[in-house]
Amino acid sequence: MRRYLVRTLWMIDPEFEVVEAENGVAALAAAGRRHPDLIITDLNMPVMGGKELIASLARDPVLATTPVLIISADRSDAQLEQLIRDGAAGFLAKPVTPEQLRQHLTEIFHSEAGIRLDPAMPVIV
Amino acid sequence: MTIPLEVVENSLGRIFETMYFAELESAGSGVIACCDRGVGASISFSGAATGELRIAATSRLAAQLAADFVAVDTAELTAGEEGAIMQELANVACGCLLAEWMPGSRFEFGIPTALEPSEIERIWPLRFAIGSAPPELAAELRITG
Repeated sequence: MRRYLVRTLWMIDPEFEVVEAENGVAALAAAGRRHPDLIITDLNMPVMGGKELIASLARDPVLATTPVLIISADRSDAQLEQLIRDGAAGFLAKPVTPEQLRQHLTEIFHSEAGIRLDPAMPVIV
Repeated sequence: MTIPLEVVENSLGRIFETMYFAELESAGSGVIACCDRGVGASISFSGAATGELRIAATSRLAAQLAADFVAVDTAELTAGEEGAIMQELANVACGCLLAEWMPGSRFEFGIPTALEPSEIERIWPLRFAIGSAPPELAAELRITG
C-alpha cells in the first residue's frame, strides 16, 4: 500500500517529497525529524496503529497542527467520528483511486486556513 | 449468524473493478492451485460480529496483482510483495464486505497474516476467475460469533 501511495502522490505532483514509515512509531519519529506538510496513515498497523499515532501527534506541540489523512479499510462510523474529533483531517475508505486521493488532498489543503501543500516539504505515508 | 455469499462476491467484485479495472466471475467451490503453492492471507475481526476472512490466489495471479497495483512489471517486484498484496486485499475486502453486510456497525480488525501452504491447498467455498481464465482467486468468510 505504501508503494502504491508513493507512486500515486508522485503522479499527482512529481515534486512531492514522500517519506515512508512502516508503522506509527516510525511515522512519529520521521515527523519529528522532517516536520511534514501532511501525514497519510492507515489505522490497522503493527506496533502502533493510526489511532495511537493521531493521539501522539495531538500531544506534540510542534506536530499537533499537521494534517493527518486516514486511509483505511475500517470504516466504522463511530470510530471515524472520534478520529475526526481527535484531529484527523480526512478519511478515505480503501480501495482508493488516484482521483479520490487527489480530491481529498485538495480539500484538506483548501480547508486549512492559509495552508498550501508545499512540494518541497515531505509527505509521510 | 451467516453472511450471504453475494455480499462477499459483490465486495470482492467492486474491489477488483476499482483497483484493477477487472471483472471477477464467480466459479463456485473447489481448489485454485493445481500447479503452484499459491499465496494467501487471513484477517480476523471482532465487534458486531466475530470471524475471519481468508483469501488466496495462485502465485501467478498474486504476482500479477502486486505488479499491477504499483504499476511495475512482475520481474520488478521485490521479495514478499505477492504476500503483501494478498494481505492488503484481505484487509480491503474485509472492510468492504462488513460495511455492506452491517452498515454503520463497529468492528475492530486484526493485522493481516500470511496463510500457510497447507491452508491454501484445499477446497475453497468461493472461487473467482478473471475473464476466461481458470479460477485463480478464492475466499472464505468464517463467522464465529
